[in-house]
Amino acid sequence: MRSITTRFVMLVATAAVVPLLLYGAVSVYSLRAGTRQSVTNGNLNVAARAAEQIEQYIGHHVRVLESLAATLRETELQPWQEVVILKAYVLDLDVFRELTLFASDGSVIATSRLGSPGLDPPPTSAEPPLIAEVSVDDDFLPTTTVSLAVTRPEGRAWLVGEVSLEELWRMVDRIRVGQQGFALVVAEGGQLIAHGDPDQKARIASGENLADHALVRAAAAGRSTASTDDTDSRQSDLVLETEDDNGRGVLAAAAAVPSLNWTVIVEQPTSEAFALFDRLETQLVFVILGALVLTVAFGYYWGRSFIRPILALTRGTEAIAAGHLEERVAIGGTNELHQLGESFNSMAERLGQLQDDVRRQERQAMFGRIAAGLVHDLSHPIQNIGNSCRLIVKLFDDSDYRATFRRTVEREFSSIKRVLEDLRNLAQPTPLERFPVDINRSVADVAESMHALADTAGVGLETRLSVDRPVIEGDLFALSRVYRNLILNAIEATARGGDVTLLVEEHEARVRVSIHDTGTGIPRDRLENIFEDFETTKRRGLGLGLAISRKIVGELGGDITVTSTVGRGTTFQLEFDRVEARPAVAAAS
Amino acid sequence: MTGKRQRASIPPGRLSGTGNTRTVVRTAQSQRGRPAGEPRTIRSLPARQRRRSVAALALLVASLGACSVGTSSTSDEVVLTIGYPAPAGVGVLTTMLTRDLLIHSGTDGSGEPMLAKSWSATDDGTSVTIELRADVIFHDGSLVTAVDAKASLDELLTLPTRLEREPVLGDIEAIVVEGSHRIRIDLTRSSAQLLLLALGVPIEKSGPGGDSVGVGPFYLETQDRDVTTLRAHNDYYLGRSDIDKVVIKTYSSVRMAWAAMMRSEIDVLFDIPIAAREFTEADTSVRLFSRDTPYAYALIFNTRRPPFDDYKLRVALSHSVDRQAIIDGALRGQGSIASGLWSSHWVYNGKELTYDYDPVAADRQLTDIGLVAPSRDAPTSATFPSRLRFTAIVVDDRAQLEPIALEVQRQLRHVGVDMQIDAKSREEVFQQVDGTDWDAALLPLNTARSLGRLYRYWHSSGSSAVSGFTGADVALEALRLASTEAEAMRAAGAFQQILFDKSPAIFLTNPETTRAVSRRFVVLDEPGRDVIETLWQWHVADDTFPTEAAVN
Repeated sequence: MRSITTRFVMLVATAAVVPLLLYGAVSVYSLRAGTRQSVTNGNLNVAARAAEQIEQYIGHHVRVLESLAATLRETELQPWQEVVILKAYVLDLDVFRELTLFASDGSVIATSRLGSPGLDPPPTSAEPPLIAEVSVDDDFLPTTTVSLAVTRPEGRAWLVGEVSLEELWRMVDRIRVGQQGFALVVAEGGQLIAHGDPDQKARIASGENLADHALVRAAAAGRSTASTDDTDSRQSDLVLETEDDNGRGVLAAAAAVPSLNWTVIVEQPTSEAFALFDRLETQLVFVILGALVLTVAFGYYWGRSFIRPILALTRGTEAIAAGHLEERVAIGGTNELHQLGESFNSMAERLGQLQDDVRRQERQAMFGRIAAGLVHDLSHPIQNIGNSCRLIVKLFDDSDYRATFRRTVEREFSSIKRVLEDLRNLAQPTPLERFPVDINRSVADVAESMHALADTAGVGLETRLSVDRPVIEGDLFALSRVYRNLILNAIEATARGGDVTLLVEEHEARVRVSIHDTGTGIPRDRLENIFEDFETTKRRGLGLGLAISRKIVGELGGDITVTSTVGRGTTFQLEFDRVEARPAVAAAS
Repeated sequence: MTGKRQRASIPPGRLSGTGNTRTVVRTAQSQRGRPAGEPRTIRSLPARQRRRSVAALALLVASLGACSVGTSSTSDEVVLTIGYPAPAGVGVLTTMLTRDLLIHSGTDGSGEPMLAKSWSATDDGTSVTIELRADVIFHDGSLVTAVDAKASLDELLTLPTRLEREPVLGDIEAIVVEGSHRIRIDLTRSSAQLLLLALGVPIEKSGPGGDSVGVGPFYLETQDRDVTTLRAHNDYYLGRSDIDKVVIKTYSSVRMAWAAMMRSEIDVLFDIPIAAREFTEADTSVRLFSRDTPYAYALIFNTRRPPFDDYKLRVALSHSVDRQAIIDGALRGQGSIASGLWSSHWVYNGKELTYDYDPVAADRQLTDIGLVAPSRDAPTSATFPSRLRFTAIVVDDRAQLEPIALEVQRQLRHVGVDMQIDAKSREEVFQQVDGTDWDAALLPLNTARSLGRLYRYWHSSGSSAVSGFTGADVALEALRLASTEAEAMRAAGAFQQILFDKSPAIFLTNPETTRAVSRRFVVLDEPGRDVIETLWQWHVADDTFPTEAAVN
């Protein structure tokens, strides 16, 4: 069973977790989507800008060549002058590795080379400007050739320039997306012609072909359908999350270089591209978890403060139940729980008062019962002594009577003393002394002392002793007190004409003493408590007899039981372990 | 690896003498105060070199420590692969790695002990006694003795090209074995000093299989057209290399070799083209080592015939060329202005004579000798209007010689000189310059540290003295016969001045050469020295030891 505290904490936590988790999920989703879109757009922009720069770069060189072509076309230069111009271009513009002017028949008109030109004239069917495929020369640098038509008086000529794309490499090298993001350029046929990562340039020298790269295909498709497709759709096709050769996740974004049919791809490790998102996500999760913990903690704290009065009341009621009626609860505030605490304290106060009243009444009742019992228990011996005293005056000369008087006085005083001993025993029990006791003798002695009383009561007192004179370990005086109590109770409970029978019998290793009367019997509901202190069926008396009897029997190692039938009589049975009689002791007793 | 030692070197091998007992003694032990083969004393080196050498020694000590903890375990063979772009043959490279010389030429041209532990010359300079190391073992396991050294020298002397290689070798009268590790070389003339500087002779002999064996840190294991394999010489007298095996692969082009380098298939790329260095250097897996080559590009004039028999014209043309512009343009800044000499050589005493670019002075000088500037009013003439027209023959080498030739052509045009360029094959060019029918030739000159090269190019009897220049003969003879340090420096200074004043060639630039080495290896980079020379001292990089950065 969960405690109120647990339930309360769970309630608060649940109330906090659900909205917090919902908030977190929505935030993470929004953050993820927003960041991804932002990063993707950024990389797409980088790729687009790079593509634009490349287009401008190539276009610029084409325009320079066009300017040269115009020079060669519109001025009537001497052949040596044309050579000087071509050489000057090559010397002054690093980008041009060679410039050669071909006649329409393929013959060389002028060239910047010292020896034979390394370039070939373009096919006659070619349409200018013609930009050839990019290749990597022996200097490791990417080059291409650009062919332009030059109209000359003798016919159409071709100005063919070998263009070093070295600056293209530098341009691509300068493109950095984050710390680890690089750009690469793929030519129309899929040939990798530039890579911003210096460690990846070997791929260019190896002639790596990326025609199957999804973004290259997408860029090519975008170029072919640029005018019809939806822009957003095309852009999404130009973004790809994939893995590089090292198995590292990369975010790739592409842009086309339309005039060259090239593709610029910007690759950035996803770990870096989405690092901001990852950081924010982590922070968000931590914030949510922190909020959750704080909420639970505050919920627990406030829950505890809320149920603390209830716990105090619980402890108070438990204390009251344990009898600590002085227990009080202290609940501050002015709320209902405070009022409940006040009521509890009032109730406890009232209970205390009631308990005191009950105790006082019990004391009074007990005192009355003790007083009545004393009167009852002492009046008979005193009356006997008084009667004997009155008779002794008359029968003083009768020696038998004096002897009887003496026995009577002694017996009654003994009874008085016994009553007083009972009271003393109740307060301070006297240790028993164990000696072998002839159980027949002890019963017979008591029966003899009780005959007079039985006669007076009109009750027959019969004694049936055991034939074998069984012996037990016991205190004769204490046993006599037990017999006397039980016989007296039996006589008092038996109507005139009834019988009280004392029976001593052996049962294996046990000796049983039964005191049976034909009296009124004891109701069943009284039998359970009949051996308790101050418990009596009589209208008078202390009610200590049976309690003392059970205590004595118990201390002597015996058992005492009672059976009773209302209207038919009661039988008390005492059972003791039998011991072997020692002749001397037995004889003495 | 207790045998790991650095190759010994000593201060400039200047001749010195005191009166009648003037004797030159060169011993590694006497210079260093410790047995030869142990780390050299660098006290006598210039301060800058000393600092760098100390760093190099630190690396060496580190590498010794690396050996002691097993950087290169015996179970894991350390293989270094060199990419060698064709068509250059691997002969030079394999010689560098498999052959050690009798006397090594230092970066300043001084003789450094190598297989020769010490040497001395008589007072009159007609005899040289060389003490050999006693702990040198051939690749076949046999001990190197004086007999082997004599045999190698005798073999050299039998070569028809010996005088072309080192003219001073012609002065050798006899080679005498004086002990197990001592030889004496008697000379017909007092040319001991030059002889010593020419004794960069590899000591080798025929091995059991008839193949030539040397004593270098590696020996040739296998060789075919594309792959040459060298194996570490276990008994190398300076200590076995940490590199167990060197594989030299030849590639059909530099680009292929570079691609292999980028793919980490090779650890060393022998030569990186100038244009590619910028991007190669950016590769984080390699490191470039550049140094000035011993080659100088020069426009050599045929001084035998007009107009270049006039030194004033040659000097004027030398003033007409902006060498720095060539370096900045054609060489992309990777080179230095050439003087025609290995100006770091000690004989020049730090003096360097180079021409300033002074087109105004050039114009005046040309005018002074009757070459009047052409009129600018006839731009439509069929040829470039010039005050002088000549033809320069150039090897058709697009990569370097062509842009240099074009730049020189343009600069000369600025002073009204029309240099026609005749591009030819290498063979055609050398064939033509062997004759007299040519004006000028743009050629690479080997200005190596050996003074013998000077004879080869600039003594009228030199095998490569294509210019026909005779003006330096006296100075070169004086240098050849110098028997004291002062005489050698005086003669060299005179020759240097003649080369400057008479300008038999326009000395243009000394381009840099660049080696690319994978950062997998820690490279001992000594100033002015080709890193390939220290290859046997490289070791596999280990983070627990100083990297090459510490050396530099």
